[in-house]
Amino acid sequence: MKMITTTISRTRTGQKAARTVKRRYAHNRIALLFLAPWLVGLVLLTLGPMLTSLYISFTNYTILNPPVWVGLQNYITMFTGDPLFIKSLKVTFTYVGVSVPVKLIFALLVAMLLNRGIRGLGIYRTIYYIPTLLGGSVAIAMLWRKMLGGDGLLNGLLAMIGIKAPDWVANPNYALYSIVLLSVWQFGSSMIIFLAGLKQIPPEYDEAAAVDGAGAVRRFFHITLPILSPVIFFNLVMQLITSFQSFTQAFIISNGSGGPVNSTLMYSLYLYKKGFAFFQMGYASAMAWVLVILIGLFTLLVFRSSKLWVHYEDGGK
Amino acid sequence: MMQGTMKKWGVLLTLTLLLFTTACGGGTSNTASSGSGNSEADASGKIELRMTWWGSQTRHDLTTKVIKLFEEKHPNITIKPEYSGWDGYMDKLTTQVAGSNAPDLLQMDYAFLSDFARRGALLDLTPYTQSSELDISKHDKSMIDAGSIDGKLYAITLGVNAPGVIYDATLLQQLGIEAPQESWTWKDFSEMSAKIAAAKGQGFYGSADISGMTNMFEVFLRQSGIGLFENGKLAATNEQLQQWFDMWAALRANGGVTPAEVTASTTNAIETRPISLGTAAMDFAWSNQLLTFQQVNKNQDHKLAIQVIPHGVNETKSGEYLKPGQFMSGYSKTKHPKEVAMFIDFMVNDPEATAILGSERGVPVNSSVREQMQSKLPDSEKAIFQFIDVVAKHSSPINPPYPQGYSEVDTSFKTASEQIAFGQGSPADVIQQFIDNANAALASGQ
Repeated sequence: MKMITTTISRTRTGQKAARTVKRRYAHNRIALLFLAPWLVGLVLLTLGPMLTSLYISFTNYTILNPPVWVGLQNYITMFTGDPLFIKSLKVTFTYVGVSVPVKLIFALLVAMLLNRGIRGLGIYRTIYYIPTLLGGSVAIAMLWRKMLGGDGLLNGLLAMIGIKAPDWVANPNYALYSIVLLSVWQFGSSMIIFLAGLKQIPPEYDEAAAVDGAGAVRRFFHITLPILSPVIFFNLVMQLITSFQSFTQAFIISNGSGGPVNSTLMYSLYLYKKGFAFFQMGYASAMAWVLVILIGLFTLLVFRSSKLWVHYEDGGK
Repeated sequence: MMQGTMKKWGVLLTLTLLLFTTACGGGTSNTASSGSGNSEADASGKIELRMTWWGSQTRHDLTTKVIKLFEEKHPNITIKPEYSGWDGYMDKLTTQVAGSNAPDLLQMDYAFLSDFARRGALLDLTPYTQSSELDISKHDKSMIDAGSIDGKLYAITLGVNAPGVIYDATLLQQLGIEAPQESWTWKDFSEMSAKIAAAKGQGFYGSADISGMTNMFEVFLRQSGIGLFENGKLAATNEQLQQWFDMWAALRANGGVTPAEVTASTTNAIETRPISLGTAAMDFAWSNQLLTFQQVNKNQDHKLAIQVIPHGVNETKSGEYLKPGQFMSGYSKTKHPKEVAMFIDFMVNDPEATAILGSERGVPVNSSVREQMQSKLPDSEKAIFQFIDVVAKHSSPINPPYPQGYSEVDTSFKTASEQIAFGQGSPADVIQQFIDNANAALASGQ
């Protein structure tokens, strides 16, 4: 760097340029300094492990023995010789496909209810946000298991009105949906963002349309939804990414097995079992990378499609 | 001036980094200190060991008591217990070994012993048996062999066990049903289960459905003269699997055993077993577990007893075998191998410690401890000792430790049993699928 500055400083204009370069450089340095803790974290705690896992994904690694290079074998096995991998994909896609839309619709509904200028909004907002804070915890998953179990609270209530219900978490037909329900229950963060978006909509549009004779449903679909579409887009992307990685609930509710009959074998849960229960760390790492690519693909797809349905008031500029 | 600012920046940067690294270090300081704190250079001469085991609350209480006693006798040693249930225990331990921060003392299972030992995770205890720390002179030869891999002693047996059927003796008496005899067969078991269920009515079952328990299926296989695995491959034939699952399907159909949903919501934890909840009369378990089964039973006035696993119809040999229930091993990277050996010795040889532990982990491996204990045993434990005596007379030797890939086969077997119980796919397809999966898992493990 010193050499560059000296060569440039030979001319007068060059001196000026050198000063700007130096100043800009100094500026960067301050930025870098402030970024340092994060950068170190990125390199040591994220990038390092990620690169290691990329390497491990091309090996056969049983944890206690050093990794042995096998090339693409793990990736090939995954798609050609592992029915459980396909099963876990199916389970995850079902989970994402059901839980994300239902959760978003529910969050939007609650947000709209809260947006009617009711008193004590702050309290309601907090109450509805609480499940989001608690929902990812082990304790709630345990509670869920108890509540929806064969002789749990729900079935007790149903029995009172004469319905003999199945064990929701131990029946392969329903187990996944009890986890979907748990995820939908944590609609809080999406709701808060929706609520903020709704508050941004100028009431004039709505009033003008109402004067022109548009009904509530029409106003919702032609005014509220289009203006809210950037917020929906944001929520959709965030929920998609987190849902694909869902692990805790399935792990606790199925007691770590992904059962009954692998009906709750989420992708991340299978990945965990491969790595830590079956000691195939190489295979598990390869699965992790396939998941990264999958999430990337889906996010890209949503981004691409956004041109068709997301409207920005300033024309998206 | 330039240099001055550079220096300032340098200092600031270092400080920031320092702050960051210490903040990061905070989370791991626990494990770090237990490693470095162990070093001989410790001024106060204090030694801290970490110890891990799996088991029920009963075992946690008893083991903690023994640790306290040991600490009293060796004031310079403290032992930090890390206990849990069986589910997830091996997962955690393997991860700790991979991260080089496993506890100094670890409870080991027969199925995983050779894997861990051959991969260098366990401490070779042989030198300490030659010096005075670890006395194995009164231990059963077969149990020393079971804990040795390639001629080196890696594990000390904590108790001798055998598989059996635990039954509610009081209930059978009330129902006027004759208790199972030593000579009973699978046919007797089936008839008895159906009879109990019929007598007690809806919501009560003869036995838990254990068609997904790999080690009980292994006993069934042993009765026809083979093991679960042969030369690293699955030894069970299609017909044997069919026979096994058919038997349980028939029992589910007549209410003799728990239906699919109830079975699926049952875990390995003794507290969650149907017999403990008072909804079944029989369960398959290990002999040492009789004690805990009795303690957690919902009907405290009921007396539980144990009988051998039902015999095969034309069995070629007894499926029963004696198993080293759990081992205690040292971690190969422990800083205090000598103290580790001392504690293991204390657990299996010390009269006071063994008296506390009793037969909760199985019948003690030390013959003089066993003799001493027998005279003053409570009834519940007497039954365990007697059962081991019965099995010892008729058992066949234990099969070699399972090959790598066993845990995947185990999971796969449980899934197959659930598939059949829930009626997902024809049994023949499910069985074929299981055989394919198992052999694939075993092949990848080699």
